[in-house]
Amino acid sequence: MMRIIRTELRRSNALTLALLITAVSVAALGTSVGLWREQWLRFTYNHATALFVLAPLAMAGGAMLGRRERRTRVEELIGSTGRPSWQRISPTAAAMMVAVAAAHLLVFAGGAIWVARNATYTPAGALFVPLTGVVVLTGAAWLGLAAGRAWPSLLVPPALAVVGLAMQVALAERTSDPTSRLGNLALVPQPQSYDWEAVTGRAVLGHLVLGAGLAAAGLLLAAAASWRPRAAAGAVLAGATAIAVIVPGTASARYYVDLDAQRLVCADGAPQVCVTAVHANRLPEVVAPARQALALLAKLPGAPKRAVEWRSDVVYVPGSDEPGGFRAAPGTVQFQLDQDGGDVDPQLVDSILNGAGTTYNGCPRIDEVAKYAAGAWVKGTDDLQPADGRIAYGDQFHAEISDTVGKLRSLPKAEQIRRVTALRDAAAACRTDLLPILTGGARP
Amino acid sequence: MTRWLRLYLRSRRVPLATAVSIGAVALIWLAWLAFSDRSEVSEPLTILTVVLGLAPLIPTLAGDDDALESTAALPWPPRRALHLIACFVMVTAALAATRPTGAWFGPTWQVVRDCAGLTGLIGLGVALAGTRLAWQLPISWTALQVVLGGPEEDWRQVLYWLVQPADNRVAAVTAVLLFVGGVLAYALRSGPRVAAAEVTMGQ
Repeated sequence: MMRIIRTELRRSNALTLALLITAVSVAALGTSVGLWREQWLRFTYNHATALFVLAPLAMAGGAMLGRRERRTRVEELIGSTGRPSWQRISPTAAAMMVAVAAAHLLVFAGGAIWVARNATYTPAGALFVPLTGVVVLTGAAWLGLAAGRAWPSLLVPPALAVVGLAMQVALAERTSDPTSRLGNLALVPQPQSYDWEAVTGRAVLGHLVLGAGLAAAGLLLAAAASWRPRAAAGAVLAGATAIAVIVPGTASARYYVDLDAQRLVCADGAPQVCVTAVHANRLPEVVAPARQALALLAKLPGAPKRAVEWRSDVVYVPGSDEPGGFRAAPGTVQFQLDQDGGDVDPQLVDSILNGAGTTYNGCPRIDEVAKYAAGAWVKGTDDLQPADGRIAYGDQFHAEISDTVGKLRSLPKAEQIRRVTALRDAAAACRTDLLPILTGGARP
Repeated sequence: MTRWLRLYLRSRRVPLATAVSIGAVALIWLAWLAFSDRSEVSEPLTILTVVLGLAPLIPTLAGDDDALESTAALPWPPRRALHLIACFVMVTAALAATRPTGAWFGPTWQVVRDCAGLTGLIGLGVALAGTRLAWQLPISWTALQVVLGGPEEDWRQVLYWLVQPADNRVAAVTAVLLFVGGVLAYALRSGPRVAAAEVTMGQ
């Protein structure tokens, strides 16, 4: 058996298929290097999304191999051997499986070496995701094998690839609807929003069942000589598809907050600066600006002594407002780090000072003018440029801030400190209507 | 000449391939007409339809026995170039003909550009790897562009030329270069020669 598989590997298109899968997978990963090179969870996602094109290609590769017997007109000769058909098909199917598995896992291993050097948090579950991919690819290749045996035309492989692709594009459009379940069949699900969001076991199981269903149906159809195994293949495929649609739940239940990934990692020395475990590799860059901001904030009475990274307590639903996240502990200022894998923002100091250290304290974000003005006052400037990727304010907004800061500075020193401290405490308590506190319109 | 043309088309199995190609475009057109409330077909589907229209024509770019054909004292390069250009014209025309109907494919210039570039890629693929493997590069590149690509900047537009807007110069130049390169390459070389033993097997 092993000898036949080795011969099949050498004499079939297995090597071509493996090279094609490797090349396409590397190209797909290459377009998003910056996003995944430091995060296991992002790497496994980006590695797995290449399946949307790899699966149709594997199907086409299987069809190229499957047409061999009928095109060379030896099917009757081979059919006359005294072996059941599944025994004749299994070395060919095994060669396909070896090719796709080797290619998929090789690319994963290559990327994993790179990620392992950079990543500071290693979720054990991440290692199961590429195995799911192997099952899906094997299923696609075997289904293609069956199609090639049924229709040995040269048109079939490219047609299968494009049809598979068109189905993926149609399914991918369903994933943007958070209540849809049909999107569970798409091999490109919605990406995670925060670095600490991990894919649930049920979602992985869904794709695993889908792949196993494709593989079983492909093998049954390829070996089938009567209607009974063909009907069984149809039933298996329908059952697996139904499970894959239902079990993972709706699209919004795909991820969960991995609390281990959010565990705080702190730098040595005082004042204490902490980031989440997934971002621990950025800690050295964060320490200096965070301590600078803490030093500036110390001019107010009751200033925070500790800076920690902001963490969300829920999974972000695309299209909704940013969640407030965990409330800041007393004496702690929270700051947000970028989730897109770039360098630490050069405006981190401004971001922390915004609202005199209350921007990411777990309250809804409101009254930006007052918060910016308080931050600018603490920094000793007329304006603040915090990193705020989502919001870009106009000139009028910044003019309003300069105006507010200017009026504040014209007051006696003690009154200035009293008003900014009052704003900070009000914002920390999630109170709204902050601007009058700075302008003196309403005294708390 | 007409007799030669008829025999040529039959030897390349063009009638079946044309039927499948036009049929595939018609199927997508009908599906969009029936199931969508918009009249302009979405961009990813338009690009995939171009590929779907061109893919069945790839096997027509080689006969059963190239070695035998090349012994015929005919000027093959212009004929091969014309064959490839005819594939481009046919698929473009099929997609452009939907313009006055209730479900039409993309801005016409974009369809022309995509079709030209992909035809060129197919020509390059056939010249380098033969008809059996020629579909791999166009389909893989198209798939990656459709899912990963977006409006990129500067040189990266070359990598994602299929998904750029119709008036993008970089994408247009890429498509023209691919088309010219593909037609020239296929005119000069019809692909790797298949061993005589395998020709009889027709694999």
